Amino acid sequence: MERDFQQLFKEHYYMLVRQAAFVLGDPTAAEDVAQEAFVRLHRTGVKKVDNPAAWLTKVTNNLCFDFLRSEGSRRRREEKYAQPAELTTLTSSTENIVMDKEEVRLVQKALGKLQPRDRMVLVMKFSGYSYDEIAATVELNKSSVGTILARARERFKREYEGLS
Amino acid sequence: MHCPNRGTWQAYLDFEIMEKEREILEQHAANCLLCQQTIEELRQLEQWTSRCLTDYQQKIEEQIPDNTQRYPIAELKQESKKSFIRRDMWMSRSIKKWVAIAASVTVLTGLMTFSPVQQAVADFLSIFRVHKIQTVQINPDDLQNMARAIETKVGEIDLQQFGKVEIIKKQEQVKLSVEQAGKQLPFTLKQPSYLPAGHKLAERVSLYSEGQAEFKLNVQQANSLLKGLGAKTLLPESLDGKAFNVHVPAGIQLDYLKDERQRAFTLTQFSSPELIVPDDVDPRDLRAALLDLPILPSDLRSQLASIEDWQNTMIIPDTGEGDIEKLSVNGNEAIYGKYKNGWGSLFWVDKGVIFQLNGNLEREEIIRIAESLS
Repeated sequence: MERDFQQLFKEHYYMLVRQAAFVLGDPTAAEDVAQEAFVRLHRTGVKKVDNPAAWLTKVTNNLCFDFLRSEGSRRRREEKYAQPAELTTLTSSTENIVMDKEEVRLVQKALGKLQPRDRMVLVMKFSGYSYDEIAATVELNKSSVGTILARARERFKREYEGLS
Repeated sequence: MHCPNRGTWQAYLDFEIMEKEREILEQHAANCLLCQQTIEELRQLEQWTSRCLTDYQQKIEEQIPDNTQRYPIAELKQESKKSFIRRDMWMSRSIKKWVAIAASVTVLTGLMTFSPVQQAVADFLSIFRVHKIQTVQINPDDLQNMARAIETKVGEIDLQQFGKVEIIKKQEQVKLSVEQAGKQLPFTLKQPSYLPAGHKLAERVSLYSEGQAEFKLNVQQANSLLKGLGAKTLLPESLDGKAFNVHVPAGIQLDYLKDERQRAFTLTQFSSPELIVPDDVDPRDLRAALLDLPILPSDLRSQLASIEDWQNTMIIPDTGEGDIEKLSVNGNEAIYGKYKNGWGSLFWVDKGVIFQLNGNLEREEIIRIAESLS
């Protein structure tokens, strides 16, 4: 089993990091998330999981969503108590990466302003997930995914245009 | 019937609606301008978002810490399997990046030699038109080195840095019956005479109207980029501000359904896009500058330089990793690739029309359908 696990890690770890980095906009947090997914796989036992690759992908998405939600609530708490002067220096970990390209930086900022659920739906759809998979991750009814997705894109565009 | 809400149209566009309901929706849309407008809005919103996210994703992935270098080959293989299907983007994403580079080299190489063409149309000359495809061999390490060279020397390159792009006529999509759509194409529509059991053409097909864009080269900016890449041959001032036109003729996408429900495969047909160059421009200058770039591996340079009919050849890089296969479809060279989700894709050019068949089918079935087109 150890060998299976090693093999899975070797094959999937960086793919999961990339997946999480795209969702979170933060490669460092993405590594934590991907490692956590493997920790959970180890705990559950590779043998007990039918399709470890699919399992890891799913758990990584769930962990990303959890991360965005906790990050979001932390940020809102901080903003509430922050002095106006500090607001400008207050940057969440998802936003403090220096982007050398203006447009890409704006995309990152606009994503950072979205609600965790909107962001998750938007990014998962772009990554090619089905409505079923998206619904399962963000705990929505499948029939609402279309509405949420269209709205998330509109908000994203509004935020982006507000910044540029 | 009341107009369906935006969420329903979004699900419709994403093929997340059961076929029965789909038909009802399509019938409604056919007669409802408001809903047609909604669909178009949603479609544009998706395109816009995808454009933003594509660049963003690439940038983020580049920042993933260096220890990814430990498995460079495994990385590339995984990358090349990660792909998604779109009309305008049939190759895997890692390859797409290279295609962008190779394509700009080609289009520009194409721009460059440009034997003095006689048929001047007004003050324009058409010089670039795809009549065939050719693969060039390039190994993944060379590709990575090229990308790294570009990134470290000049940063990310996009067209905007070379000049100004203006969309003169945007491509639009309408749903029509196959008979109606066929009449509006600048070429004769082909349909397969062979279909696997249980498959049939959807009632409505997508017609894409023609599109046109104009590109004005800023020679100073382009030269400073070329210099950054170590080029000795630069572009002449005379190219500055000259308008290059890209014309994409109308095209069509046919959807084929399996058991009246699921979309099983799509067949797209487009006549070859044209690049039109003002007649007082000598593109040989451009070719010289580009083929001279020190970042081109010499092997690739000689392959590119040896393509004789470069004005009419589309270049597809083959990294030798087995995800691209060269075939022949009724005597035309074709490229076959397989996606992670099991879909196959076949791409070929026949008498100036570009064909692409994407589908959830076995390789042999795809080839058989392609060969039955008439």
